[in-house]
Amino acid sequence: MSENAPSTNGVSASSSDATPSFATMPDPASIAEQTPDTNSGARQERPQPKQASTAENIAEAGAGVKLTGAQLKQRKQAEKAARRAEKVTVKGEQAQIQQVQSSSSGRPDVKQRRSSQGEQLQTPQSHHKRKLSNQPPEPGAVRIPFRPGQQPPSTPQTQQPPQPKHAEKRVPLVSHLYPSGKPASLTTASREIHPSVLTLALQLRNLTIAGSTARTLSLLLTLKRVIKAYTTPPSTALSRHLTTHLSHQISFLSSARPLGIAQGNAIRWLKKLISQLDPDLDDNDAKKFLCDAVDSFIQEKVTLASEVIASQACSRIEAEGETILVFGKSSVVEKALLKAAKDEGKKFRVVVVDSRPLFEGRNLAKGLLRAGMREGGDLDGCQVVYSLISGLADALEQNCVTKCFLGASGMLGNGSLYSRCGSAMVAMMAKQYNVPVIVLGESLKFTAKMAVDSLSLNEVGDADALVERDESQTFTSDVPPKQEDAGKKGGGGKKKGGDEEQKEEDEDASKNGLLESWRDHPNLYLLNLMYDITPKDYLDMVICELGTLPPGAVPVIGVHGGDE
Amino acid sequence: MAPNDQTGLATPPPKDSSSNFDIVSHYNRLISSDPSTTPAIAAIESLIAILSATSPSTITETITLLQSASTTLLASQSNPIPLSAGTELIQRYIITSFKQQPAQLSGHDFTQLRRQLITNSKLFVSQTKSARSKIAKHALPFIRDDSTVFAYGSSRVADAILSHAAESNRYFYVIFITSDSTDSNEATALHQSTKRLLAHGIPVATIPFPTISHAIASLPKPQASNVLFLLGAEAVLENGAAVSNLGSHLVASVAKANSIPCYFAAESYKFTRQFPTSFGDRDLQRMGAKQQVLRFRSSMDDDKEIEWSVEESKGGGNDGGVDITPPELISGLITESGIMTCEGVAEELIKLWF
Repeated sequence: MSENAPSTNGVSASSSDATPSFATMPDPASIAEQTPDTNSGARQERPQPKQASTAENIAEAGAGVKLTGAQLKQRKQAEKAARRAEKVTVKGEQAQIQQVQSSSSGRPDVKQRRSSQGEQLQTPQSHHKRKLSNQPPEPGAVRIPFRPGQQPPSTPQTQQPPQPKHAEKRVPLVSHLYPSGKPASLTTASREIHPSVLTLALQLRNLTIAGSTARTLSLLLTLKRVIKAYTTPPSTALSRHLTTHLSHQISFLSSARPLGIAQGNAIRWLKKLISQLDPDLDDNDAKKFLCDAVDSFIQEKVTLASEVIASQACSRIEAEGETILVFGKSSVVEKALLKAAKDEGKKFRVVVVDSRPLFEGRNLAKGLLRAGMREGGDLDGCQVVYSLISGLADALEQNCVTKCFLGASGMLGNGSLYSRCGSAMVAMMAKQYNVPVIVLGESLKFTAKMAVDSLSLNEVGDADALVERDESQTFTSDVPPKQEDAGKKGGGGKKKGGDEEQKEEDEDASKNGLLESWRDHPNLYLLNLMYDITPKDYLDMVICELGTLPPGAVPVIGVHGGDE
Repeated sequence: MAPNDQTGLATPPPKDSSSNFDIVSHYNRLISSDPSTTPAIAAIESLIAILSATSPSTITETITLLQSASTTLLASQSNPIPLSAGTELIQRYIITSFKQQPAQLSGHDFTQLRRQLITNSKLFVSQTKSARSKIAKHALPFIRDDSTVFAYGSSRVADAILSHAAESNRYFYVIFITSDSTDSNEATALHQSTKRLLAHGIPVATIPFPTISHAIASLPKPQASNVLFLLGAEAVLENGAAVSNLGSHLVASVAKANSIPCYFAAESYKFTRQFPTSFGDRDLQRMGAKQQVLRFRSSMDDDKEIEWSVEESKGGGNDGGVDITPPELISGLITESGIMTCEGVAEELIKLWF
C-alpha cells in the first residue's frame, strides 16, 4: 500500500474501479426486487470511503480542526510515520491482512473501503503488531489513542464492531467447514464481477434465497445473464475464456455462501457444455446456444422434474385419512402437498415440524394455509399442524402420522440424505414409529460424494443466529413478552415485592446473557451447522424425476443425472 | 371378456384380426398347458402372439396394441404383479429395439421389422426360460453337505434348486413348511418334489406352518449350524421386496429372528418397477392385486366375511394369495445373473429402463 497520500489515491482509484462495473450493468429489473436496493446501496457506498478517509485525515491533523487539502499536504512529510501507525490503528489491522490474504491484485481502494465499513472480519497477524510497537511515537504527531497490546480483545473500545472476533472463534472440530476466503460483500467484488452476480451473492449471503432449488435456479439465471453480457476478449476463444470468466463469478458467489450440491452439479454441466462448444462458432450464436441450453436445463431438470416428483409423491398419498409429516420447507414437498390437496382433492393432515434458527417450516405452514388448508378455506378438510422439533415425538404420536416427506439438499453416493439440520432426527424418529420416510429430490441433487457423518460435509451458518433474541414472534424465546410477564408477576408478586425486582434484574441479565456475549467467553463456542446426514437405513424411498428408488440406488442414477 | 382396445385406434390396422384375438384365453391356455411356465413368461408369450396375430403398420400402433393388450390381460388377473413384470419387460424390450434400428425404420419396411422383432422376442423368451437352471447353478454353493434347507410354498425355482443340488450329489436335509390352505396345486407340487428328492436319497420332513420356530429349535446340533431358508418369489419389487406366497413374510421374520439367512430365488424377468411403501393389502391393491386379508365383522351373522379372501382368478396359476416380504428380511436374491442384494434390484431395473 502506498504510504504517500493514501486516502486521496485510494478514493480516486476506487471510483475509477467501481464505475466500470456498474456502467456495464445490464437491465437489473429482472432480478427480483433486490437489484435496485443493492445497486443503490452500492452507489451510496462509493462516497463513503472518501468521508471516512477525510475523517481520518482530520483526526491525524489533530483535535478535530478542519484543515484544507493544501494544509494536509504541507504537514504530510512530518507526519508520515505517525500516519502510518494511525492508519493501522484506525482501520484496524484487517486492511493489511486482507492485503496479505487477498489473492487478486491488491487494490488499496477496495481494502480501504471495506475496512472503513467495518465489514471485514479477520484475524490480526503478529507482524503488524510488531510494526506498531517498533514505531517510535513522533512528538509532533497527534495520535488517536491505541493500546498496542490489547488489540484483539479490546475491540469494543477501539470503535470496531464486535465482528472481528466472530471469525476467530471457530469450533476446532469443524474448522475445515468455515469459509477460508474473505466473505463476499460489495467491496470485495473485483471489477469483473457482474452486477447481477453481486445481487445474487448478497441474496445468498443473507439467506434471502436459501432453498437448494431456489439457489440453483437463481444461479443458472444469473449465469445466463452473465453469458449474455459477455464479450470474448480479442485473441481468445469463447469456449476457453468464458469458463474462466464464469469461474470468477462463481468463486465470488461461493464466498457469499458455499455452493450447494445441486449448484455444483449445474455449474459442472454448464462448464462442460461450454468447453465442448465448437470453437468456430460465432460468439453471438454460441451465447444464444448457451442461454437456450440453460433454459432447457432449468425446464428439464428443475421445473418439469419437480412436477413429476410432485405427482409421484401425490400418488403415494391416499384419498383419505393420511397424516403427512414434513420438516422445514422444501419447494418440492410443498408442491406435492398442494397438488394432492388442490388438484386431486385428497383430504389429509400435514404436520409441519420446524426448528430454530431458520424457522423455514413457518413459510411452508403459511403457504399451505394461504392455499386454503384450513377450516372454511378452499381446501377445507385438510389440516395443518405446526410443531417444533422438540415436540417431534409428541407430534408423531398425537397425530397418527402415516408418512414422512423430506426434502433434499443432496443425495449422497452412499444413499445418505444431505438435508437441513434436523432431517436426520425426523427420519429416525419416523422410523421408530414405523412411518415410511420418503425423500423427494430432483436427480440434479444427486452426487457421488459420500459422507458418513455430518462433519465432513456441511456448512457453518451464522453462529449469532443461535443466540436468543427478544423477538416476540420467536416461539422458542424463553423470555416471555413483556405484558404477559407483568400480568404473571402481578399475581404472584404480592407476597414478595423485593424478590420481584431481583427477578427482573436477573431477567435483564439473562436477556443480554451468556449467549449474547459468547465471544467474550474463551471456552464458549456456538456452532450452527446447516445440514445433517441421514443414513440410508432411515430412508425408505427416494422419489426423483426418473422414478422411485431405494436410497441405495442413488449412485446408479447419479451417473445418468447429476454428473451428466 | 372385453374386445381389445386397439379398435379405437386412430388408424385401425387394415386387417383387424386383433379384435378376435383373445389374449386372456391365450394366456390361460399357456399357463395350463405347461406347468413349468411362469406367469411372466406366459404373459410375454401372449403379447408376442398378439403381435404376430395382428399386423400393426406403425411403431405407435404396435406400442398402443401392446399396451392395451397388457392392460386387458392384467385386469383379468386377481394377482397381476408377476404378469406385469413380464408385460413391462417385453414392452420395454420392443421400444428399445425400435430405438436401436433407426436405419431400418427409414426403409418403410415395417413388416420385415415386425417379423424380426417377433423372432427376437421368441429368442428372448427361450433365453429367459433357461434362467431357472442358471439359478440352480448359482444356488449350489449355498447348499452344502449336511445343511438344512427350509422351503416354503410351491415355487418352481426353489424346486429346481433343490433338485439340482440333489443331482449334484449333495447330501442335505429338506424341511417343507406347509401352509394350512387347502390348495390342491400346492399339495401335488409338494408331493412331486418330495418324491423327486427322496429318489435322490435326500431326507425330507414336512411340517405345518405353526411349528416352524419349534422345528428350528429342535434341529440336532450339527445340523443347526448350517441352516437356510429358501423361498421362491413371484415378483421382486424395486426396493428388493419379494412378492411371494402368503406367509412368506412370516417365514422370513422367523428366519430373521433366529438369525438364519433367508434367500429368495427369482429370475430377473420377475423384477418389476413397483415400489411399496409398506407391506399390506393397500400396497398390493396399489399394484392391482385384488386381495383383502383383513376384514372385520360387525355382527355374528357375517361369519363368512371374516375369512380372508382372494378374488377367484379366472385363469389358472397358484393363487393362494401373496404377501410382500420387506427387503430387511431378505439376505439375498438368487437370480440367473448372480446373487444380488435387494438394492441391486433397483440397479438392474434402472439399467433396463434408462
